Amino acid sequence: MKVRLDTKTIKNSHWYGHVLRFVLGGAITVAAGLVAKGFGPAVAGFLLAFPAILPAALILANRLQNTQAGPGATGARGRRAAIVQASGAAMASLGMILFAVIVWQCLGRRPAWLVVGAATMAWALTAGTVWAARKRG
Amino acid sequence: MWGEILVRFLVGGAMVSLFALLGDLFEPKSFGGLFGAAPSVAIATLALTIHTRGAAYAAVEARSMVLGAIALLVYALSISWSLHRTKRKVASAVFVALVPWLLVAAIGWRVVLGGPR
Repeated sequence: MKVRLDTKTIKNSHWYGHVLRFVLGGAITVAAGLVAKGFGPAVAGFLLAFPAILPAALILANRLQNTQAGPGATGARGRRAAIVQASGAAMASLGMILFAVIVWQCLGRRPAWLVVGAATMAWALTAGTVWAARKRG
Repeated sequence: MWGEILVRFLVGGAMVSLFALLGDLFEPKSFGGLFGAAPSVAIATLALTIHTRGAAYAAVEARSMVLGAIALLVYALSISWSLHRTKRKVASAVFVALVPWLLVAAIGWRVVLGGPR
């Protein structure tokens, strides 16, 4: 299965979905800063991988697909979309683990921008490779 | 203080929106789903932390993030399992799955990082 770009989904999406994700992203980043101040970096670190965006993404995908299915929708289409997205997130979580290990081990030894950049590349490569392997298998 | 909060909010919101938009753009949706667990909050937080507190402080956050990411994996798998195997609604499944996330994070904090006993 080929990966391609499709702008149709963005045209079909609602503005409140984008606002919700911006607000959630901003809120969790603020929370991470406040928790670091109050309880230290070891506790705040957990929030860097907190599932703040995923629940909203799954609920919105479920709603969008059921709306598109029309008035006779049983909810199965939305449910399937949520399962697909949750499975994708599970695969990407493996990349997130590698991202954190690289930052933890390399920060301070190499330039910060290089470490965060390399960790992000490692996340993308791991997530993409696991996804491709699962599609093939 | 308020200035820092505003900057955090804007940088975090922008980074999350950017990754979410990328996820929306990609087809098939199973590939776009990968962006549901993108390190967007981590990149924003680490960049701000490195800038204000230095690399050593940010590395401590990243160490805990390893455990948080393992908990995120369990969270996503729990939702997938729950929607496959039970009749639970999507909105309910995403909140119930926070229990295993919290459990894994708490065990990791206590066992690996030596949290409060």
